[in-house]
Amino acid sequence: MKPLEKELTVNNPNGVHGRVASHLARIAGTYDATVHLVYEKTAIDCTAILDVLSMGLVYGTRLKIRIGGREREKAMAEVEKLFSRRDDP
Amino acid sequence: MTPKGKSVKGGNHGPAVPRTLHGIGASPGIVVGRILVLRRHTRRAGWYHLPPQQVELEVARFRRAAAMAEDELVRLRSQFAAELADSMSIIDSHILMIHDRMILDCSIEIITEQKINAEWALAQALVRIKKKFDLIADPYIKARYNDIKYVADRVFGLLSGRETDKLTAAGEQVIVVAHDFSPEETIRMRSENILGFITEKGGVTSHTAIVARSLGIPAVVGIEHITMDCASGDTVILDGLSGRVYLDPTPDQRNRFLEDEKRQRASSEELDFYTHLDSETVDGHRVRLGANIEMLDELDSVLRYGGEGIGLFRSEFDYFSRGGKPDEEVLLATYRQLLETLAPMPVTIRTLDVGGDKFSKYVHANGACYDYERNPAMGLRSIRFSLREPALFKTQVRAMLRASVYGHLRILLPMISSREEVHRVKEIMDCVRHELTRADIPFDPRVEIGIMIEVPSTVIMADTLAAEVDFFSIGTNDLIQYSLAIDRGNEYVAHMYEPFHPAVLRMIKQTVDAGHANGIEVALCGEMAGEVMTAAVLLGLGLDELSMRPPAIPHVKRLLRNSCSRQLAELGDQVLQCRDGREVREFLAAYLPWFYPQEFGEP
Repeated sequence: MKPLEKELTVNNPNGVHGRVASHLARIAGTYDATVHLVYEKTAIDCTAILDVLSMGLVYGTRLKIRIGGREREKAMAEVEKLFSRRDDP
Repeated sequence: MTPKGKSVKGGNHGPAVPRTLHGIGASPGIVVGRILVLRRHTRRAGWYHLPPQQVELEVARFRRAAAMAEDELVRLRSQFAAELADSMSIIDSHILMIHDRMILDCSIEIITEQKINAEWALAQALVRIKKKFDLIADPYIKARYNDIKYVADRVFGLLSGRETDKLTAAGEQVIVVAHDFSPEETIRMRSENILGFITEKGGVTSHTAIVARSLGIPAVVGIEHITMDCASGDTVILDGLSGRVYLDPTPDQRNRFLEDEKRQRASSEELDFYTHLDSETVDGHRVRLGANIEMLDELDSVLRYGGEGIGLFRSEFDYFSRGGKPDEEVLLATYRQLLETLAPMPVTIRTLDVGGDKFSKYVHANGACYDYERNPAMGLRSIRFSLREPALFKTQVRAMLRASVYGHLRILLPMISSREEVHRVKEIMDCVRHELTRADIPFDPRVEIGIMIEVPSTVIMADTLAAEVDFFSIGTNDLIQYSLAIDRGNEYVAHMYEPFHPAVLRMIKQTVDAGHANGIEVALCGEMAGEVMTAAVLLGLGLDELSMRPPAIPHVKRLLRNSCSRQLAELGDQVLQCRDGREVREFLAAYLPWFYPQEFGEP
């Protein structure tokens, strides 16, 4: 099964901060899917909130999301929704 | 954390000298009480190497502590869930951090590899995380390292067998002082009857401040060395709005604040009742009571206290909360949320109101860099700065106009001192409207434009200016400083700052009359609007809107609802006859109790 990949932009004015990162981790934990965030040639597992935070992803950053697993489509839809939001989840 | 040696009863350093300390007002409210200084107890379990056979046990001990820390958070979360969404999502992120790889797995790895105790391993893991976060440029995300510290401290505490850290001493209500508090500690303050808190660390955007505001716990943060400067048992007045802390206050100061406090507490339940009543006098004369805010986080409190829209939104936060200057989309998001949340009530957004010096870092559009100014209060600031940096200003205007379709927007121009400035702003706005029309971007063509009346020249020219704009908003804080030539921050002259100076009252009256003669509304958004005594006078001077910090709204509304318009007008006339501030105060002391026994005591 080929993983899904999509390029997304951070739309939250405060960047990927605590609450955004924890929502991302929750998505990764809810579905039968592995969610990776690829930025500057590093792929990180989105269940690891500190890894995500320490990337320092500010507003406007372009990044890639890679999702494998049975429910990858559902998970991708959720992740896309999260990144398109301007307010905090 | 445990209370510092001394008991809470009785101060302990010689004759008390009153001192005023300035911090950052993180959560509004005034409280008076005794201090309890809390020190982070670095109860060192020591750092040591383990015999090989103990490594397994140590890993288990660490896992147990982490699991307990998580349990604590989950339990805390479940106690409050529904009402405090913001606070809850902060705790959620802390729960995730506890079993994050970088904390949990990393510490365990260090324990096994280096054969050292859990405390030492966790400290090392933290250093590694810190290194990663130090590389982050964005200050907002970088500041989340504090959250990781809070979480780790919790685990440290459990590892070293900490007792449940009590925040109160001997059942007495206290104001707690510490280097820092975690959001969780702040949440617990509510159930432990803490009056308020003061910290050395922190800023307005810290999670601790957000939680304090959502719980209504008064707080001042960012006072360096406060844990050294005071001792448990000292008396303190904490003003969470101005960010001021009065240590060992004089009996006078103390009594005044205590009385305010008592009155406020006695009436707070009754005040809830006023939240959803109309703000009008007994004979139906309406005065709009709006809110002064500067962050979206405060929208909740606007609604909770029954604000009829926003009379002053200070737009600076977006410009300083992150590294670079905000782009149009960021501003639009903020303005849109304000307007959508409060529609159809009016939202007054003040354009950027800062000095050029604050921008030296990133405004280099024309290569200009703003130098230190000898007299910034009269220098390049507010609208002057915006007109000098038209690109920056245009971005803000565009964001505002684009947001205007989502609700009722009023744009407020600060520190106008001449008619020409109004014209120049209007030209820029026309230009932006034109661009938007050409790009087919919708906006509300009827957005009202108003000016702040805070420079004495605009008071004198108010009749002329009223023909140019849709509303006035009197900014008394600056108007008083400029007209009395008093810098409130200067300790030698600060006592001369007198809101009841007849010159100030007459200027307000003159502005109101000039506005009404031209058929425009006159609002007032200084501190005067939020104090019941000054608010009574302002209502008497005929203002159409008073805008204040949200918690003050019910107080002023009750005052208004217990008034009738004729009696207010008479009050206004009387104060205008007074010859100095003292006469005004004497008159009010005699007059107000007759009409407002609830607010000012029986005559």
